Amino acid sequence: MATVYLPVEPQLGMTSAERAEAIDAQVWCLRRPASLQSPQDITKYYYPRITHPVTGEVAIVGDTTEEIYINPLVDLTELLALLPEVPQAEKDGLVAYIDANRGSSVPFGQLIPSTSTQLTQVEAEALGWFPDPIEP
Amino acid sequence: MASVAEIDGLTVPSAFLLDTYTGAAAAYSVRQLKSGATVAMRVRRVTGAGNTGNDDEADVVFDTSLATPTISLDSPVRNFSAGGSNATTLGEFLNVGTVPPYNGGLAFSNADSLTNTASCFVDEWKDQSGNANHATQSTPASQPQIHSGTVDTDLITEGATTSRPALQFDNSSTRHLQITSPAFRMDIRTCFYVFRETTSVNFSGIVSCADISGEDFNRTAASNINTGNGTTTFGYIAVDLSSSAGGANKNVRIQGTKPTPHSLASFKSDSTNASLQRNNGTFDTATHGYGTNVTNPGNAYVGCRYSAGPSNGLTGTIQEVIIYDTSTHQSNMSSINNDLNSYFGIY
Repeated sequence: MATVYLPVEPQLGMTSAERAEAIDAQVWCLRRPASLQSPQDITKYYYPRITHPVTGEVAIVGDTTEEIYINPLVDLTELLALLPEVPQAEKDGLVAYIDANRGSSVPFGQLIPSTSTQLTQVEAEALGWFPDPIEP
Repeated sequence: MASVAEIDGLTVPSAFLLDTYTGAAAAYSVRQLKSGATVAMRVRRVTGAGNTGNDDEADVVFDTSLATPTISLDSPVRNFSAGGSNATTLGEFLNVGTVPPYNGGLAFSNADSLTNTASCFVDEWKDQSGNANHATQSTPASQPQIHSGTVDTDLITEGATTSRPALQFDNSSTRHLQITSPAFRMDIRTCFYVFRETTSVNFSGIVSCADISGEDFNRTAASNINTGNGTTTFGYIAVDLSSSAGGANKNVRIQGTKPTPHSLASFKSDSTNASLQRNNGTFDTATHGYGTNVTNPGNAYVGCRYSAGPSNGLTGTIQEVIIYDTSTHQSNMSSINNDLNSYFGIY
């Protein structure tokens, strides 16, 4: 397990929290596409998210080594639309990578865009993502 | 409490616990606690990547064939994810195989042509109080588990001392359930928690209530139960740690050795004091310093603490959580404790 913190910047008129939630939901759609989901489904996101206690920015807490199953029915349209900062060539590469792995699994680390800030646990702590623990 | 009583030769069902002790703000259990509260939880099955039925969800209904309606492999399932299911019971939904004594030891049929036995996780623990304060978890790695996915195996139970089913939590992924913005009063509470810690994690949470600033031990609800520090103490409760409210740090704690205890923690507070007991024992009391009629502006959590985010997850099991935000039943706590102990066999 290699935990990675991925702070999500506000984009597309969405706050950091809104965009992080939308991206997280699309990561879950890699495994369970919207076409297989039910409105009654409770499970909607792949990874937990945390909120910076000072800035309010939200980070997705992923695992670079986790093997994510790519459902054959996956549709990347909405995920790519949430990543306007990612160069088109990189998006094309992601599409090709996903298409080549439909029905099999890929490590989450291979799906993180080059434009995304990636923080280790130590780096996230240094940047104040976790307040000092308060013991009772 | 679904035991039957005889009245003039007739057998009639006795009242469920929350029918007798009314007014709960929230209640979660593996057994039915109130008339009409027939759905225990919504679950997600995991059969393996790419397998048919992976991540499908269903509601689990209490098994009324049992003296006390409880979740079991014979529990009816319904309200399936899109695509539906042919399963009629939880055992079929999970394709568990042959698990005596169910159906006389007959196999649960593989209703959905699953390729293996599914493990089972809780998306939502239904609030039986009638207040719709359901405890949910929308992220798979953080969901508590009720079946291991091992073929021919029954539901996860609390441990060796009882065969009652239980929700299994794991600190490694901080499994927990969230009660979103419940309108609990923070000052007056009467609460009951049945749990077991199987691996000691300092201050792991059983139930926590975060305030709007996100600090569970800073101006927090008066019913944060955690498992204490190390192996020498058990069962802290944090009350009025708010420097902003002018209160000094005050804890109520139960001192005691804790070699993986199956525990009933019961809590009560009034406008001045907060008290905590374990297994119907002596109350430990401290002044909490809250005002009156204070409601919780944040979320509440089952299975973890909260410090900027869910943290200090419990490694162990939880079977029942009952929260009153009144003092109405504080005089009945011993009777309620006895009911919980009678069913779960705690002490």
